[in-house]
Amino acid sequence: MVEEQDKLLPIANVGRIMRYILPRHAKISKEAKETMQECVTEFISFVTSEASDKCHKENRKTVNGEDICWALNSLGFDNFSEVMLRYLHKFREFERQKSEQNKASSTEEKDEVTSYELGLQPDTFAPLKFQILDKGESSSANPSFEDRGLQYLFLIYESMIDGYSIDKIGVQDHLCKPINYSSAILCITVSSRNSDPFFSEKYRTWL
Amino acid sequence: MKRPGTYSGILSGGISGRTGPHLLPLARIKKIMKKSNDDVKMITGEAPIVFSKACELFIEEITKRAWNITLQGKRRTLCKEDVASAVITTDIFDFLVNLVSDSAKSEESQLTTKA
Repeated sequence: MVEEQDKLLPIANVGRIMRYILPRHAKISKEAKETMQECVTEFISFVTSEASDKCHKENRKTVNGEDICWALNSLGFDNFSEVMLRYLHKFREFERQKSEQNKASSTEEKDEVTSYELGLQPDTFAPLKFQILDKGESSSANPSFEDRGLQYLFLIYESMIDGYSIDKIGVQDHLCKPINYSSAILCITVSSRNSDPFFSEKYRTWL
Repeated sequence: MKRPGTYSGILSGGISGRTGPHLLPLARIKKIMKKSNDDVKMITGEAPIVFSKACELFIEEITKRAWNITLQGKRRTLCKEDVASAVITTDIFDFLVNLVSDSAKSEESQLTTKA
């Protein structure tokens, strides 16, 4: 029984993710969580097999993040795959900067604030599907500037920045006055909630 | 789990109650990946991290659809059948159809043996 559970993702984690997406009053049956556990595990196997086949055909031994993104796309999860590619590039960028920072500050105080800009790629296509946390809220056909900004911010936050909290949100007009929505830049300063070491990152992205 | 209002959560500095960077254990994901296919020998460190996020999206997608079915039935408890229906009615989840109908069948046979 224990061995079987070892082959699945933990039910507590799965249940937590399910609860996160549902309204406060919603309940989830144990069997539903168990079924979801099995589905996610099968999902991992399914996508990995596809990614692994690709590596095999290309005579590569190691499955990497991009292979997973490719497999997601190939199997019809294209909305996932776009988000994942950005997440992956963000993650790699973050790791690279972290290692550079570690090299540079190996003799410095650990609690020194370091800020640097991680510019995201300009968004040349429509924002991906996003979710509004508050139930009853729905995006209007022509969202206001703040709506668009904050919705997009939510998307970035959700797909990119786990474990961080947003400190500050600001808007800079970039190319023209008055503020042209498509060329404005949203500046977000985030800080790690882990605070070890404390750092803040400024993200800039096109709206 | 903390559920803040739409934008107040963002502006006041934190949306979710997530305490760590990943919601799913990376070691377990890696184990499942290795088991999936004999050809899978080596996996980069970032692959389980990509999956951690992909699985979140996956769970969210099915849960949202299942919850719609729950609501249609005027219920408040998301049950196994709602998950199964969500899977069956979505093309990209075809690979799960046998899995959800198998678990439904095994439950049925458990009930009949009890009776």
